Amino acid sequence: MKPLRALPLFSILGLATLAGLWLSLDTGAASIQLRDILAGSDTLNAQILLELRLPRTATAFVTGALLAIAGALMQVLLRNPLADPYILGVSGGASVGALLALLLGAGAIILQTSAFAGALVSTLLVFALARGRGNWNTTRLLLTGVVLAAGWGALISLLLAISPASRVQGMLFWLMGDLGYAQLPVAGSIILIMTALLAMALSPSLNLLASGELRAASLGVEVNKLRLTLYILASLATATAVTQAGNIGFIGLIAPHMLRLAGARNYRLLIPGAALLGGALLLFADALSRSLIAPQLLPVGVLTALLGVPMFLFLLYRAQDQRHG
Amino acid sequence: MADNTAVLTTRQLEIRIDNNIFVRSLDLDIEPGQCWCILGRNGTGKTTLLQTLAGLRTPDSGQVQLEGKSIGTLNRKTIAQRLGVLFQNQEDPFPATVMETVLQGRHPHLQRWQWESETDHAIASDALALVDLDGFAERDVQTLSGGERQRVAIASLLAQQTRLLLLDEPTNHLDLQHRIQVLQRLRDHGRENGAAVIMVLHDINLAARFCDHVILMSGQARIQLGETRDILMTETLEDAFNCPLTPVRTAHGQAWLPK
Repeated sequence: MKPLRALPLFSILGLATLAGLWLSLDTGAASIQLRDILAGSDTLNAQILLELRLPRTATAFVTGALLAIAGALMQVLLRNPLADPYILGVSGGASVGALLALLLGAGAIILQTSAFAGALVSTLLVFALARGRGNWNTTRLLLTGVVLAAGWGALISLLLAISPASRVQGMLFWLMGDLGYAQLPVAGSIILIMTALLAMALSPSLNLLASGELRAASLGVEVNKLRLTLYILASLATATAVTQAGNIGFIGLIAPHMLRLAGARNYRLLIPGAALLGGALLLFADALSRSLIAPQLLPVGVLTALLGVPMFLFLLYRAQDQRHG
Repeated sequence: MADNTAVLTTRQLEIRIDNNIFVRSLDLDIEPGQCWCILGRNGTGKTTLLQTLAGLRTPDSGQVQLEGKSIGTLNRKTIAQRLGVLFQNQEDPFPATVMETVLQGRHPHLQRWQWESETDHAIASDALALVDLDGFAERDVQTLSGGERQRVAIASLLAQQTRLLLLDEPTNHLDLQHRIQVLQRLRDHGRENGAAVIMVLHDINLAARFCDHVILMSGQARIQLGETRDILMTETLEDAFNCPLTPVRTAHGQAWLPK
């Protein structure tokens, strides 16, 4: 796909993002007329909007975008469209890192660093174990990811069990993925922009890496350097998403896949497209999670899983079909 | 000193994997327009030698020089502008069109933020025509047959426009017609553009017909190299392949049938 031919696709993605932002700001317990606020006639509700809803909306978008980019990067690293930070246990690793920091009463920077370390350890473990000698193998990869995710899950339970009761409620959200504790994502936004720009700069090489490491090397890619950069970028994006919103699954799987279906296979389009779509998807999912059984709130991770599981099974089924067909 | 006219030279090249030695003290001089074939039984190190010549594997001893410079000191992009590789198997984990795949061959000639130009598209289209795949540009590579996919890979290599082409079993998956056609076009492409071709082949008759030089690997680092007519002799081949052969004269020259 050439850049001009991608214009309609990006117009749709842009509109979807705007619609998601509007819907997310508009959804909540208090009925706020966005029109009145824009007109400046409703100052109380303007405060609710700015201090409660805006942080949540911004966090949803940034988190979704980060997860989608992390997914797209992991997919090219593993040359497998089923890779996703949640499925491969990378989110779990980040959660454990974050919870450990919380348990020790650490501040925001240490929390973020600790989550990043957890994600990086998890990424390197998946790659070291699932790779072995020779080629990647979907079954082995997924099994490794699932087992790692289960291991991190057990560690999370352990940390919850030994934590003081007063903290458990707040920590539980790491298990489910929840935007209820969101703050304005300043650091997250900076990391998102950095990650997206770097990934876009690397895109020509990513396109080649998808068709094999040796082939990429023979076409001028410094593969080892690129791989290391991708490990770090994917881990950083996942860790940032997890510290903001807990363990949200499947966005990294759904967004890149939908874009490939729409014809954006070139990573130069796939990366920015996945960021927009991932952000928009999480905005919609979050708005839905607040209105489905209102006034009760659903953790948004529940919704993305309900959406992602069928798609994952479909992809897995189709991959097997192709191999035997 | 390296010969100035040679595209690729090796000096005292040694290749081993664990305790097996595949290549010892190999001195090669590959010149523009030459078409070399690497022949030998399974497991004698043909692919490993090819990848070492491509700079994708560090030699255990000795040197590989690309246009007079040690290949280990060049960066990957510089190498890729001069030397292209066709691998034994093609991987397509994600959907992509034939055109996108062939255009990958233009990557070494592009800057980081640069999109492929009209010229790049024209080069890719010409390469597709050369392997008989006009009209396939918008097809998804995941829907192609094995032979069609192989020809896409060859087109991508041609689009790379390098002075040296290294091919690992280019006739893999190809039908009879395209086996002959692809080898013919690769040889002609080399002669017309002053490019050198080195390929791993399994068919001694195709090697005899299309290649002017041969590297015959008989295992345990026993290697014979030279002009095709000096190396491809019945007794030498019988020994190298461990298989009795009947020589046959044909209109295209010497050929052999297994007994």
